[in-house]
Amino acid sequence: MSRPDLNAVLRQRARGTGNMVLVLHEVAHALEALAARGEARVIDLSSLPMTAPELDRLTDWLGRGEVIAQIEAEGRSEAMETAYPGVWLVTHRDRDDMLRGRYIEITPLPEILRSQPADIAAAGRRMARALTHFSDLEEAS
Amino acid sequence: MSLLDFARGPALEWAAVVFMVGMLWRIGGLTLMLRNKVLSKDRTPEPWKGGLRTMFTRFSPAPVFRRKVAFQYIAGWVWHLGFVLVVFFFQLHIQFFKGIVGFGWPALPNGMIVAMGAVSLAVLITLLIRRMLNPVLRMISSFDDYASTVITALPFATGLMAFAHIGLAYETMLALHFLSVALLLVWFPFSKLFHVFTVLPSRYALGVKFWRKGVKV
Amino acid sequence: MIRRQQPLSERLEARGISRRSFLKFCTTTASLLALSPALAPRIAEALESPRRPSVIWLSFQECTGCSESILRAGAPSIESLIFEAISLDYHETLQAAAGHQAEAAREQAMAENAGGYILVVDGSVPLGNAGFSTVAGQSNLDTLKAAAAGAAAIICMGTCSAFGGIPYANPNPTGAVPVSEIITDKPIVNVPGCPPIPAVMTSVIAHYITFGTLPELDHLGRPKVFYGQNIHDRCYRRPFYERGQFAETFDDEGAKAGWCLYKLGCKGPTTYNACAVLKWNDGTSFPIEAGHGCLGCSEPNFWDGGSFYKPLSQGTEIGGKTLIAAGVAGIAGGVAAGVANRAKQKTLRAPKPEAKKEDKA
Repeated sequence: MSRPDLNAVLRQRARGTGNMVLVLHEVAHALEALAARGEARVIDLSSLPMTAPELDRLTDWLGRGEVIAQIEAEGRSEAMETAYPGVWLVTHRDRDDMLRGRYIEITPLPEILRSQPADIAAAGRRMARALTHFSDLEEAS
Repeated sequence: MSLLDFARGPALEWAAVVFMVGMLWRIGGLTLMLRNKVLSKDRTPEPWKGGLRTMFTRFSPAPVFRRKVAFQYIAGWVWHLGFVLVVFFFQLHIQFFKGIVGFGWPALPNGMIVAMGAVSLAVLITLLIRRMLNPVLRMISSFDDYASTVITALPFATGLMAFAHIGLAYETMLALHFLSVALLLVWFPFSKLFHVFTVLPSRYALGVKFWRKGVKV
Repeated sequence: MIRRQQPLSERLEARGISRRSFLKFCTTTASLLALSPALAPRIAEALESPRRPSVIWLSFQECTGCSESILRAGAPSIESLIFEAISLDYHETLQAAAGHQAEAAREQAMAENAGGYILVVDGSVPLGNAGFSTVAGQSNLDTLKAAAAGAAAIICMGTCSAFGGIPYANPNPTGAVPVSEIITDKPIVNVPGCPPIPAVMTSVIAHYITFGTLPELDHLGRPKVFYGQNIHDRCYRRPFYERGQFAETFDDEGAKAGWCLYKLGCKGPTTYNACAVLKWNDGTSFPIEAGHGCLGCSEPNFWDGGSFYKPLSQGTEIGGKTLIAAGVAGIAGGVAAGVANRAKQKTLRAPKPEAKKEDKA
């Protein structure tokens, strides 16, 4: 007996909540504020009830832009600029690939993409150490 | 112990014990009582046939009364049928009986059960209101009549609300459903609800009585 | 064991976890707590602050499953790291110190942070003979009372400390009680589950460290954001329930097709927890997905709520034997009453002596 495709069944029955257009208006206002005053904003998509088809329609509507970044930080994350520069779709997954968060970030650059000062400082120290070993190897050969 | 644990556990158990003791006590007691002696000759042979006949003819009203009592009869049929089908052919109720007797049986679809339950409840409430508003019915109604209707309606109401997850939290509605059934079980043997066991025997006795006198009822 | 000195950033670096990952954790924690994403930086700031509250973890009558759940010694997660980094000043299983030094460290932490430390408790407290559970010669009851006195808040980790759990189950030989029955003058948050989901624990602590308050609680003291929905309402097998497709045994076709487990005793409809959404082992699965009905482990008295395999629609104590016995009693009573009534009827029907005399006369 095969497992019935629940997702297909649920998708068929899905009716929108009507929240998609509300979210898009929020994004539009935030984008205006970003352009005018440089104010960044994050919208948590899990905080609003939306059906899966609605979420798909929302992301399709925003489209794809020029940048897709894959991040490996305790699990896969993705930051994708939509067809509207300044509007990013950020998805966080954990080490077992379970979805942990979905956000629309209205910003020049999502925080997750930025190299963090603490990490930069640690990297500096690490590179310094690695280079001392490098010089040792060079001298040996 | 939470309300649900109490309702599913001791409350239901004791209610069922009271039900069994009460019903069997009353049946046993009534069966053993003396009947009146027949003092005249039978006009028609084999009066027991008349008894059997009357048990079933009384399920519909006599033609001469039909127009007046049709509503009562139809309403009664609808909700009694609904009651039997909902109690004995709903998936989850069959599970309940399986826990007691060890076996189950096929069930009717949930949609049908919910529809029948809702209709039965509506009919019960209508009959209750009619009983309260109609002057004749009001005059002849006792506490037993009102209480029996309400106590029978409560399991329908709580069951539908629990199933639909409306009203209070599910675990509370389920507990109330169990408690309303416990109340029904306790009330059953000592009220007019006992007619479940007396209605057919009493019709039989009436039928025999009239047949002896040569009257077909 | 005073760990407050080591900044969180150093700990992260030592474990090879980037600050980027840490920020991701703070963002998703804000989501979990149903807070605005704008609060994520505030959470990060609070968790990194050198002035973090001290946490004292007391273990009473417990199986250590709750510690195992949060700390996942087999595969430490960022949650366990955060947890350790909040300056865990006393934890019997984790700490390096032992014996009197460990107790001395605890007392020092309590004294230094009087009124401000978080007390985490797992395990129930026995009120019967104190000898059932003592640590360092002191009964659990006395330890709890002393520790609670200076605590800012108490987090009851796991069903044992929240509701009594397995020691509380019938016949409760140790006289076990939940923490809330002993401490009544401090804010208590219950994080029940057997064990609880790790993310729930860290989120509650993160909330407290960031805002200094406990999240909104339900009538049983559980954070509403995690315990506000029942399993049934979020279960992926719910459509099967609605369509009336149930597994009848654990190995029939229905079970293999992943049908609803109601008939096999699933307590999902009456259990409030986040298992169906957050799942276990970093979102791998949860009991129902693994093919076993929910036990109701985040509810009080789940051990005594009737069999784990009896569906909710069955009575827990009603049984054929009791009813047969009741039936026999009923018949006996009925027969006795019937016989008595017959005798009475015969007496009433017997011709009266005075009437006979009158006839004669």
